[in-house]
Amino acid sequence: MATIELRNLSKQFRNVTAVQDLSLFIEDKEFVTLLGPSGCGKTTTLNMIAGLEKPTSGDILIDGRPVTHVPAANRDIAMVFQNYALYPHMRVRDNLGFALKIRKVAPDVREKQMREAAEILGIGNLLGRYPRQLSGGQRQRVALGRAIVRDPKAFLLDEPLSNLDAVLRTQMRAELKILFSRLQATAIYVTHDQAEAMTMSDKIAIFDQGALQQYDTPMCIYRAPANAFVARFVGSPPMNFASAELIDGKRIQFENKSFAFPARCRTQTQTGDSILLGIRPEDIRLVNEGGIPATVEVVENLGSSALLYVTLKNKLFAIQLEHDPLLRRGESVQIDFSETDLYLFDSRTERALCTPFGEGNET
Amino acid sequence: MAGMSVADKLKRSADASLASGQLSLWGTLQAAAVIISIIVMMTPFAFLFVNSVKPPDQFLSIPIKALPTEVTWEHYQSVFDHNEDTIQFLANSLIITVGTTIISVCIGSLAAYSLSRLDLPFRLSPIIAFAFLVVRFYPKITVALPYFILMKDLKLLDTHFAVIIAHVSLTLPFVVWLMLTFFDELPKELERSAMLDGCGPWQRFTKIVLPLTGPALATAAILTALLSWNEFLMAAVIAPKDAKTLPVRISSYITDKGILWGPMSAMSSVIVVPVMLFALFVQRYLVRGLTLGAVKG
Repeated sequence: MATIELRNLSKQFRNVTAVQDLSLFIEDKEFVTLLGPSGCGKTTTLNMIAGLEKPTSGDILIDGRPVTHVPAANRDIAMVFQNYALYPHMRVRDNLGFALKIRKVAPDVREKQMREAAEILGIGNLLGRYPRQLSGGQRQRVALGRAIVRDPKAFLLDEPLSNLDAVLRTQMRAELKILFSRLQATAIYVTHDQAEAMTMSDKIAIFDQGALQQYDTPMCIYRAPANAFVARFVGSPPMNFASAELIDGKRIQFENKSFAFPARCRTQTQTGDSILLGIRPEDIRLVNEGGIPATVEVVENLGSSALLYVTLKNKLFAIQLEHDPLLRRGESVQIDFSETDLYLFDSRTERALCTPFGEGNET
Repeated sequence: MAGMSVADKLKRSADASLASGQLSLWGTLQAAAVIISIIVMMTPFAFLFVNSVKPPDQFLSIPIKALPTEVTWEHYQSVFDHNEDTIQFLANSLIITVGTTIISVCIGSLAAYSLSRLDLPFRLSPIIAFAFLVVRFYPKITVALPYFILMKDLKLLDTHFAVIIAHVSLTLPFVVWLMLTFFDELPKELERSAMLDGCGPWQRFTKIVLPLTGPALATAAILTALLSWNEFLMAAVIAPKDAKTLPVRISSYITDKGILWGPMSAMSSVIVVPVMLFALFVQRYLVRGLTLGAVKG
């Protein structure tokens, strides 16, 4: 296994900048997820690491060795593609053994490694079948098996679960997590699904428009987002935002509530009188009195929990509750939250000023 | 329904009609369209065959008889008569067709693969692909004479190779375009995956791309072979004697003493036989759908 380092990596496609000055260090045996909306440059980054695309500038190092100009075939990296890319004209057995055969591994060794990989993934009974005779989940396993069988320096996974249905996806997510903790492998996983990123990763790198927004552990990403984009992107339902007034640079006024602007955040330069305030749905509660008045819009009962949407000055706020609040549309409620759960952002730059875990660590 | 043949669809619609107890108007129209197409296609061939077994005195007799009063095989005998050199022309046609097909399919598929995969600057790929089409824009007669002069200069006149070159130039654009569509449709991830598995460009082409485009290659080969087998104009101009092909031979039954309808029909019927056998042999390779299962279906 290996470390992977990206140094000031950029990729330009004609007039579009896909990846912009990206620097990232991935430790040995670390599972890192590249997360972001479609077209944010995460797949391009993966392709550059694999050697399928040449960076416009910057360097890629595997185990400290520059590989920027090494062809894909010689990087010893395995990749699992979104659409599996199984060879349709080969049986599962030959799909698994193909890379070993190309690398001229002796047939008996090849057979042994292939059987081991098939064993790990529980596809030993499918070896004689063609890809078209397999279900989505089975194809997914074969695609993983094809990567595992080579025992590569690192695994690259490009949205491997996105073609599966919801139930299977959750199941495979857990299986993948178990598999990779067992393999102790360096892996880079690309997804736009935050649940996958949060549950599987040691670290998450969040991208937007080709630029890295934050690179941190899942909990830090969630509780100490570097900016409003990260805060908005991670969390379901997403964080609620509202603008609040900053009084004398020391206090924050939001509706009928006033809080002290934490002293540790004040060192940040302030650009205006208003401040962007964020609060996660699970941090808001309903109170009988003394809260901020709001009107119920809709209640979504999820069984184990309920989502309540209220309007507050024409803005929709999501609130996550443990039980169905038994409220109807149009009813008046009062909401409240603890000031320690607040996320504060500079309203112009959207940089985090203060989060429940401290200041954001923008990279 | 995508992979269904016309026959399957017709059968299905007929089954459905029978199940509902009556033939629907749409079903009838579909069946009629197929029957009319078959009649239009097969009538000339039927006439040709009937003519080849008519006694000589019945060709121009009035009123015209559709069917001969008696069947004769004398025209076939005359076609394969020792003086006729038919076997030599058959061999010429075979050599030229096989040569054209091999060269055209090999060069054409490699060219199409390169055009499909190379990221040339200034969007050159579509321009080059379009350039291949230009060959099909003008009537062949306009290049027949230049070809004659060129082959004469190269001292290739009346050789198999000269006709093969001419036929390759006619069929290559067709192969390139057909294969281009197939290569473009082939999921790029398959080759990318092969790249990471350690394959170089040649291994990717031979181990992944070629096996998957087999049906397309077969189609290209069949159509190229038919084109070359039946081509008349170029063959007539550059190979009037020793490398003469069967279609050119047919035209020589139009003599100054009149048209020899019987031998001409017999020879034409003979020409069709190898093509039919060939088509029967290769048609199973025309089945598509092998790529099914490569990606999420």
